[in-house]
Amino acid sequence: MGSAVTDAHGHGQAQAIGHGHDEHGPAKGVRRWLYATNHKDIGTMYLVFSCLMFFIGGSMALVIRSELFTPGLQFVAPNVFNQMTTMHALVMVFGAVMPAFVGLANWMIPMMIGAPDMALPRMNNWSFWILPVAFSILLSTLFMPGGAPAGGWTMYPPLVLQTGDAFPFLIFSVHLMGLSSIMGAINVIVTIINMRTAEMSLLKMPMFVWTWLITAYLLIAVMPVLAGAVTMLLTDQFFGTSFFLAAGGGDPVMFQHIFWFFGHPEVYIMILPAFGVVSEIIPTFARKPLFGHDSMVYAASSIAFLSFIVWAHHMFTVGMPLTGQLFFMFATMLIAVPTGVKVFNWTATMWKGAMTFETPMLFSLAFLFLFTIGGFSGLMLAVVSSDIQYHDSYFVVAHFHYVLVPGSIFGIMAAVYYWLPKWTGHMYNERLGQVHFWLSAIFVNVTFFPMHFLGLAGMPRRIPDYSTQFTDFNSIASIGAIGFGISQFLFIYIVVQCVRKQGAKASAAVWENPKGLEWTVPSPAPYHTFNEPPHVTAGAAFS
Amino acid sequence: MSTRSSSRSQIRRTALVLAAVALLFYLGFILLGVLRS
Repeated sequence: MGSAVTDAHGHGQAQAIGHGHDEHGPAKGVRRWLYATNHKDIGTMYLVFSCLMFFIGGSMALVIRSELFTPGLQFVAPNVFNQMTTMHALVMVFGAVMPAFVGLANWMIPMMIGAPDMALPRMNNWSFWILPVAFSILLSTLFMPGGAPAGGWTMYPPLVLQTGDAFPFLIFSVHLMGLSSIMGAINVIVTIINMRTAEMSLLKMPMFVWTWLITAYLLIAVMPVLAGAVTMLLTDQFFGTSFFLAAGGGDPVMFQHIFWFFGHPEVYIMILPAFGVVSEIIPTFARKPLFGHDSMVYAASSIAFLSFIVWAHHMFTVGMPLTGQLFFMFATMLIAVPTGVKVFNWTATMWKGAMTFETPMLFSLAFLFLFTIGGFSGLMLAVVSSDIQYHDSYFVVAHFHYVLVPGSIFGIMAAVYYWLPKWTGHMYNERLGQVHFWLSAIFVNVTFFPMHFLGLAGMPRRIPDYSTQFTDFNSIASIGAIGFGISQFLFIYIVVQCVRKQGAKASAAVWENPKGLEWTVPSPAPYHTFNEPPHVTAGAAFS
Repeated sequence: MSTRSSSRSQIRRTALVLAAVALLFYLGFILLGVLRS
């Protein structure tokens, strides 16, 4: 593997890196970050920003869980509670999970396909710097008269139109987030289509690159739809239109259709890159090639296609014709087929493998088990007759948190542990990493598993108070949430320790015979990775 | 598949096509709203 890459003249990679007109290092001081065009710098900024948002969104979750620790109103007024649920979701979805994956894409895609950088580096800079502006605007609404948006992240009219001064700020910030995502997605697609090294055909691309390519197409298709929906909300509020106002002949249910046409693919935008990460990690630590690489590509593509035709399963209780219910129910269940292919392939990759359980592998295995639990509860919710019972209950909260926390967020953490030595040139503290894993894995289940029971027992979501029979499971969930939140400071400590080069020096390959071009360059990866397009030998091919 | 020698125009063309698709989705869904309301 180590000799898989040679430049066009047959020289080793290390030699190729040393040449070229742009072997200079980064700019000094704040200019390095403000005017950044290097994919690694921009990737780092995305990851740091995402981490900050993770803690801000997490602190909102702790306000929610503190309030729900016991019945009655303890800490916050009901309106503030509603602001917390709304802002927690917006911050976590658009500020934490999505930017984290864009950060990973920025860092890794050029290195994995043998490109010198992203195709559109200046636009890359814009994509990032729009985000802090968008979230400053959104978070500033917490201090406005009337407070932050409180009608839920889904922004359903007519409720959202009752938002006070925060409303136009919400709409503007959502537009900015969408713009940033679309520009990032364009950059990813253009880079992958145009800048792959010679010999890397599409089916030879690593799974992380493949899943990101599919994700980027999803982003291009659905972020403008969200933007269109909130533009119409804006004109309904301020310009006298009646897109969603029944009194003016509009249809509030249409907003739900449009929103979920965006919203369901959005779920896959947050999980497909995690599929890619896990597909990189499991083969490395099972010491076997990924089982069924090509079928993984087709499965991810099928999931992306199906994500466009299932949106109304979020709206079964709104009312729709029986044929509509049946269509959306069966289409939703169909997603289990390609997802099953993926779970089978990951399991088959591990079958008879010489497995070791370093931190990235532990997070990937937890992902595999716990995401599957989220998938199963999703199947239960797909059944119309059951969904009418579960709708807007804590069962739904349990379901999507199993998909997003041990799914997306564990995927991000696995990726950070896996590639951190490549980024910093030093190993992280493995023992602390494993402690972090076990604390996270235990507390995530303590937090979210009881929510299944709460939902089945009838506790509705988005309420600050509840009947006393729900007390025990709520208290357990709150203890789990506090434990999970505190555990994440250990993650920060481990990462900072590694960035400050306190661990052992990492080799170029870092792990035992990992696959892919990124492992052929030195650790830390040079500021400018490939001055000559590398060749992909049989050892580095994925298909 | 192409290599690093891809011309800038190829990159620009791909980016513009994707931006046009995004714009089309944005305007298309607003048009859907106009036609429905």
